[in-house]
Amino acid sequence: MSYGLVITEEVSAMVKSPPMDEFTHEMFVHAMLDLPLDPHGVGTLVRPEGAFTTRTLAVGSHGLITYVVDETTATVTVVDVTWLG
Amino acid sequence: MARGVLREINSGRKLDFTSGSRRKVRPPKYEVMVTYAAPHGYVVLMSAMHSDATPGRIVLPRKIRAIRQALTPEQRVQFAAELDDIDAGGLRAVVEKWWLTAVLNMSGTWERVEAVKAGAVRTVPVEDVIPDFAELFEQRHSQPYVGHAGR
Repeated sequence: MSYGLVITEEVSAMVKSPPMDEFTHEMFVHAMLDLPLDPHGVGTLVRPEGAFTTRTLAVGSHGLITYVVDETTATVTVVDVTWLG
Repeated sequence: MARGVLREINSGRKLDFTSGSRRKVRPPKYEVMVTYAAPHGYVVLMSAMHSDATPGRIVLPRKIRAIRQALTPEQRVQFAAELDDIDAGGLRAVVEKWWLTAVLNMSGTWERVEAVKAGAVRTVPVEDVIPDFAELFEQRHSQPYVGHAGR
């Protein structure tokens, strides 16, 4: 099964403006590439709730992507990118 | 199998590698991103250095006291109950789970999660943010990215 991958407009704006530096963006892209095929097989489960599962995925050691997997629509939505440290 | 990217700080030159590569890395000369094959897939493991370009970072030590303070009252009760019942071998996983929950509390992420689940958030396809996503996906996985067309 493959999932459609979408990003909230808020995260889209975060990625585009101001743009991530090149290396951070590359790490972000690497992380995103793993989501459509097996979103439950990467990252860390945070909260399962019915058809929705909230998980987080590291972007390097200082970033955290939060995404929601919706089994009903086979959609992975990137909800937030949090920077740590 | 591990794979990843090294970027030489001074020159910006990048070196792709996969398992079997043996490159001498002497931080802080290189930034390193490594993914490795976990039982259920690839996990981004580490970056040896980071950019300071992004403001608004969240700092939360992985200590029980710090985590507890960043939880809601209801979450504190659940956290305490899990700590009471956990075997020593499972302690790290419990702390990590609740550390993540606390971080998401601090960043306001839960409100965004609930809004997404309620269908109250506008979204864009990944290609709007990463225009060459389909091409990169096919390179990485040797199969096309079909998105919702794959259902």
